[in-house]
Amino acid sequence: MIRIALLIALTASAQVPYERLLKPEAGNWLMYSGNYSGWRYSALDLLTPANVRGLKVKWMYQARTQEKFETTPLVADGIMYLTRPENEVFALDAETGRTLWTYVHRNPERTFNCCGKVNRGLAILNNRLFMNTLDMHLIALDARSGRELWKVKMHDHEAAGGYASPGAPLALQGKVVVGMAGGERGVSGFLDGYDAATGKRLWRFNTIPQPGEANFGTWAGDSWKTGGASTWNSGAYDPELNLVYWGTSNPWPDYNGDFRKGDNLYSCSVIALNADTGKLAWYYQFTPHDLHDWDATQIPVLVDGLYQGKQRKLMAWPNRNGFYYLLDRATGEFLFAKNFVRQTWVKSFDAKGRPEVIPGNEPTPDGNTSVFPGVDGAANWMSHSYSPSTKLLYTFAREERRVFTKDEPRHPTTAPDAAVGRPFRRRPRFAPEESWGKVMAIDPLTGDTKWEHKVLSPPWSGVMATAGGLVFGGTLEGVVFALDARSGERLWHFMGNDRVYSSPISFISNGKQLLSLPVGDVLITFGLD
Amino acid sequence: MWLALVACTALAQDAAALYRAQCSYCHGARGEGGRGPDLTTGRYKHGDLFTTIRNGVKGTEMPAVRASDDDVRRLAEYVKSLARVDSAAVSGDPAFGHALYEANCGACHETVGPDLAGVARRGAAFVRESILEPGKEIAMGYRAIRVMVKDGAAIEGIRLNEDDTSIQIRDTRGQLRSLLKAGIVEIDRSKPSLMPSFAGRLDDKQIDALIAFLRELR
Repeated sequence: MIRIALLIALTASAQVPYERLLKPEAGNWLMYSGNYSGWRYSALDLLTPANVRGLKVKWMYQARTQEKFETTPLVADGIMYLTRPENEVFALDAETGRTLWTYVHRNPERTFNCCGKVNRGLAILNNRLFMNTLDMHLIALDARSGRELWKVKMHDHEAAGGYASPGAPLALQGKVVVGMAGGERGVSGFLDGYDAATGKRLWRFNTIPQPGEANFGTWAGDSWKTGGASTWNSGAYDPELNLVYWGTSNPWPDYNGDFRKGDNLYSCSVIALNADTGKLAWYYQFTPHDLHDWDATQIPVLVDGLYQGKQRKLMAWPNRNGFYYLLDRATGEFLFAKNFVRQTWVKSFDAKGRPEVIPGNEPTPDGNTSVFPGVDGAANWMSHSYSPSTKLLYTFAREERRVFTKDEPRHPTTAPDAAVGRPFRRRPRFAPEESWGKVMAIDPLTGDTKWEHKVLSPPWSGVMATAGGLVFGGTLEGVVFALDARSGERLWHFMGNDRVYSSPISFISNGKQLLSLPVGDVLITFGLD
Repeated sequence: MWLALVACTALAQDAAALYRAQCSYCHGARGEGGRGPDLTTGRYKHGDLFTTIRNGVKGTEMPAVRASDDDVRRLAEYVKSLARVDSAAVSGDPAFGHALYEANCGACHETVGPDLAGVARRGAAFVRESILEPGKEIAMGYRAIRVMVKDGAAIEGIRLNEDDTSIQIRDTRGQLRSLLKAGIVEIDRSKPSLMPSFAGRLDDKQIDALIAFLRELR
């Protein structure tokens, strides 16, 4: 009887058609950001400011990894699917954390990730899970068994200075959109769309225009061939416009623009692509000719609202470069930008959103220590959150003093003894009080800050708002917290005592609202008694 | 010969720059250690330095360093140089230095301050500077802090750890204290070293004697 019940549960768990992705149920977490709009919002309201102080550890999953544990689990009908570094997939019982099946993809010994052998999660569609790998494969698994259905090579991972793919894929109707990394290694960026059934590549969009393509010629000489502009995080999707939105990384070399004069399109940009063809609908470049490694690889947040008297489809974007942007997501029109952390590099923006840059902020060979925001930025890859209940955008911002050192560009190579990218990234010890983090509630339509909750260190965690009126996140010291979504007051915390390098999710199990977040190498799931 | 010397000096400077960029964040500006082990002891737990730097140490936070093989060789040589004894002549009398140490240094450095065994490997100039300007370079893990709690008491000591809800301190008597921030009125970080300056309190001869004594503490 029990076996039959389990079998039914597993069978039921494996069916996530596109229609469910269009309108994800509150009790499940069916994609990286929770919905196509990139909200990382839980519509569950069982946890509230009144009862959140009773939140306790329900179960833990021990990942046993030295790598940063950056995954966002998916939860579908009682089963949790998550990745563990490097590229291992686990199906767990979401009520107990007990393992149901595992899948291991073994990468070659050398992979060419910039910042750890990490993976940020999966996509699910119908009965399939999709994972991209550090050696540039895209893999489809049977969600019921973990059996490999197909595996395709996206690109030669050893080309140029080395390619990798650490971000979570985005599943659409019948297809999977996948990005790649390598902005520190002199690659040539792209975003791919694959047939979910067969693994056949349907389209590729080059994030650096090639000869003959529109907007070719914004890179001096041959620098376009090795310009980076990767797509290493995940994206968002507007089904009505059928547009995929994705952020792009820095141009290469990161801190030396001498050999790549020009705007360096489409680096540090958001691109809007037709989901069926991969054709460019529009782009907006946040940081032309970036010299500070200010990737625009944040998750796009899609909101609708009344802007200057007109109902519009909008895109809200707290960027690594220190500015909060509001764009029209149908046209790409720049509406406004407003800094949300200390910034030293922009004097003003013109009507098209092009920044007038203040001289003196360039990296120098000895290190420029007077540039704000710092090298890891005001925002990075961690998720922002939008709550339709409060109509506020929540971001976990970084106020940080760092050093920008102009490096010597070298030819990109994967030779074993080669140094590429940023070989001399000096990190002097500034006093700890010169840097901190803050959860911010921002009115997306005005950029006005409603409240701030300061924390000790610049964070590497994202945040998640809930319909119950809470905002969850975690700090670098391992403090997992719940804030009041309307005031920013901390209502509950748990000492995890290790770094949080991910963003929370919430789901229902046995009628109760649970919360999961990786802390150190442990995925902790919390719930009320 | 002169050219060779110039080239040699340039390489050494380059190695120092490499060290600062790649290693100092964890191992300290002079290899004194911190998040990573002390590199001034001349003892390397994982054997061959080149291999350790090239490949990192699995199961630890030590990553493979992204540099060419030549640079890694130079780094390895530089790391070895951090453990070399400072052979510059010191004129001081170690016995006199010992007495000065007992009178001025031991009470703190054997409770809350950094252990001074081996400190002289970093050179006489560094030790002299630390005595005269102790706030100039704070050893990792020895940042001073002063906390005012709600009952009006002030606790001064070394900040051992901190998060948004609590702070852990070794106070000036060497006691371990953990304080919840809910009970703290103010945290003063403006004086990063607990050590007073000895400028005007110890003359050159006394400092030379202290350095001579500290050399024997290796």
